[in-house]
Amino acid sequence: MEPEKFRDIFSSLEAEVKKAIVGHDDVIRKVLIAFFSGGHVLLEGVPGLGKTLLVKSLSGAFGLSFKRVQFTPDLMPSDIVGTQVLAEGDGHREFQFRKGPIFAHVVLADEINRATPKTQSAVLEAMEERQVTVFGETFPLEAPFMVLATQNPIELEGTYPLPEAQLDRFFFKLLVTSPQPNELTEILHRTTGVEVQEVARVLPKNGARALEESQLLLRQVLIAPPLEDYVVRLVHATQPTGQKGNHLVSEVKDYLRFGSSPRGAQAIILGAKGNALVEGRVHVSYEDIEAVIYPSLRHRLILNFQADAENVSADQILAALIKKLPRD
Amino acid sequence: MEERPLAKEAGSPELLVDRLSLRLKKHALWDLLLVLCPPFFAFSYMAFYLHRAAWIGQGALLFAGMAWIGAAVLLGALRFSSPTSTTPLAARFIDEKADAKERFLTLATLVPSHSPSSLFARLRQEAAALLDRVDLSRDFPYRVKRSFVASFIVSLAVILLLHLVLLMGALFAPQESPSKELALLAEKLAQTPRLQSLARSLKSLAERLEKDKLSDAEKRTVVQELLKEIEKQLQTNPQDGESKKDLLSQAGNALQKLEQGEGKEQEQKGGGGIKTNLPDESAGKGGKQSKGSGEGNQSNSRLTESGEPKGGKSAQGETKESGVGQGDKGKGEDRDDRLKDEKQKGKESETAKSDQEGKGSKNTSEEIPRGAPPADRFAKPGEQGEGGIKGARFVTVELPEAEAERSSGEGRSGKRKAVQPKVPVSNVPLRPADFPEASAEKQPLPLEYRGLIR
Repeated sequence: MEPEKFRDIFSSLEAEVKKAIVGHDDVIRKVLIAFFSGGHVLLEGVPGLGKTLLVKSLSGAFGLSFKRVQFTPDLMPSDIVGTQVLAEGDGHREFQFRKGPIFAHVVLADEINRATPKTQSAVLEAMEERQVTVFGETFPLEAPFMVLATQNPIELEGTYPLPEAQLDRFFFKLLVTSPQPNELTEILHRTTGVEVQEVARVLPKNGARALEESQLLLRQVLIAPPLEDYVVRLVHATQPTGQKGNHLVSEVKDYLRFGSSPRGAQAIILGAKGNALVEGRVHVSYEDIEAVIYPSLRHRLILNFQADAENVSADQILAALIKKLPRD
Repeated sequence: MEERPLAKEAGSPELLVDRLSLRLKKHALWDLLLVLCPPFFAFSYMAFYLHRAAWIGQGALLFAGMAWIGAAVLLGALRFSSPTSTTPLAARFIDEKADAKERFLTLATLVPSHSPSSLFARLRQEAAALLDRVDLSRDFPYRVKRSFVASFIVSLAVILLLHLVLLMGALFAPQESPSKELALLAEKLAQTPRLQSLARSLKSLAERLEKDKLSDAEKRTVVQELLKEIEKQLQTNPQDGESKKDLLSQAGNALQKLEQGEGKEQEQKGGGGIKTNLPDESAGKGGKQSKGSGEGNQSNSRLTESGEPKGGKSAQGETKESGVGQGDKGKGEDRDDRLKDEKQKGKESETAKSDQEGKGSKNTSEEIPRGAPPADRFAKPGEQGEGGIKGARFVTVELPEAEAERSSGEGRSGKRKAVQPKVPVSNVPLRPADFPEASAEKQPLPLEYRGLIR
């Protein structure tokens, strides 16, 4: 696939989603980049900001299969991955595997932090291995596969914060913020009138193949070794272990329990490549890297109690790191 | 990592990066040279200065110089042998100038064989389109770095500090006694085999001075001998290095200082010389007297190149010195004369003989104590004569022999061959009265005998 074609597909998808979603341009772009990079996205924001609508619009534009799972405390793992059911046919009964909602191209895990950790972990294998094992039998998931999870940061009572292992499996964590006044006005116009914006399918019937080619092209984007080195140094600098004087910024030692895993570096590189293609380039620049550092690393930095007490966020620590880390 | 093939095509992005990389290396070389230059010159200046002052020897100077050059070469080698390539840096600079968003950096650092050819070709094409935004000579001129300014200031400060320390040392260091100074110089001279005998003599003199075993006369004699020896060394070995010459000069100066010190002491004690309260009219004469014999001591002026006043404060005191007006020449004569005076004490007959021959001591006239009025008997009518000494509260009496010598010196008017003593000092009988020139040979009666005759 040519870079121009990729850009066309991307722009078409972006434009189509923007028909339904007002504002959140950056979120839309990042979600699309994550999709072409083969990653999953965790969307965090208060209720009513259009998270679910965003995911539904995306799946509609892709023209891919879409399933939504509302996570609740009584949700069981089998409700997600599927289970064996006793089926009767031809005069005898047998157990048949009934696929759960995870068997779709785009899966929306709405309010994922409301389910128990047992249920949350049910999606771990699917997200990473792109396969599901039920009763010892493994079922591969059809590509492309993407999990879009949402969580509410304010209603913490009766919730189960996602374990670190599961958080690490999300490619990006995107913060969905309240719309600006002008955006809110546009939202009102679109949603309170007679006309309802329908999201059209952008990709043709064999769109899955085009998406696979796009994902392959994204991985071919050129990146200079010094830029890779910059990413490595950045991720390494998030590690709070070691002596205090060795840290690039004191915040790392003071407020972090754990730094980013290698998946963080992978996410930065792939995300930067996707950003470069979207910008019409076939090579990665520092701008591309900086554009994806926050969504790639903010959920991978595990804050300690002191950070919570002092209301220090991972983004603040990352900002200090980026400011201090030399490019060469 | 696989080596990136050097792009040879003119106008290619890789070539531009390589050219800038080379340019940056040259800049780094200039930086290094500029940083090293001020300390080098400061070091050279200080080494030369200390060497001239004989603080460090030639060997130490060479060693220090070699060590410095070695350190500079090592520093340069370390700076330029580091495996860090300047190519990524050059590519980054071009990216910044051309706003190329790391296109040149990617091209310069990626291995083409490991990258998709289509994307790499496209990247090269994009970078080539940006080439006209960069002009190496315009965008990357050489600028003197702050390190050079800092190096220059520090070097200058070090030189000033050296001078300040030396000045403070000279101001506050306790004055060494002449004997110690001589001993120190003797040690330095002893390092040169040829000068070891001189060094021994100096050391011996210093020891004797220390023990106060020398009389003034002996001291003068020894000092004069050593000065002659030094002069001889300077004349016979003109090819000697500056340091040796300086050492010899220092030794000469120290000896002269020693001699001057003695003169001062004598002066302070009021011993010796002619003392009179007469108006100093002999000044011109003194100058005249010293003229004839100045040549013989010219070489001594080498010892006092610094031009500082020396000698001149002889037993005759400053009265003579102010009148001489001949600078070093006259001073040198004084020294020789005194030496001769010492040697020739009690050898009047020899002196007279050599005087008559006109070949003996060149400095006969110098043996007359200067500053004293001429004997009354030599005054012409209308000149000072008896009236000249009327106001004198005291006179110094000279022996007839010395007076004869002085008169002989004056009579020849600077020409030694025409010596005709006016005052016979021998016991040769006077010529008969009928002799044609008899009247001219009237012997004036010396003043000092008049009373006796009466």
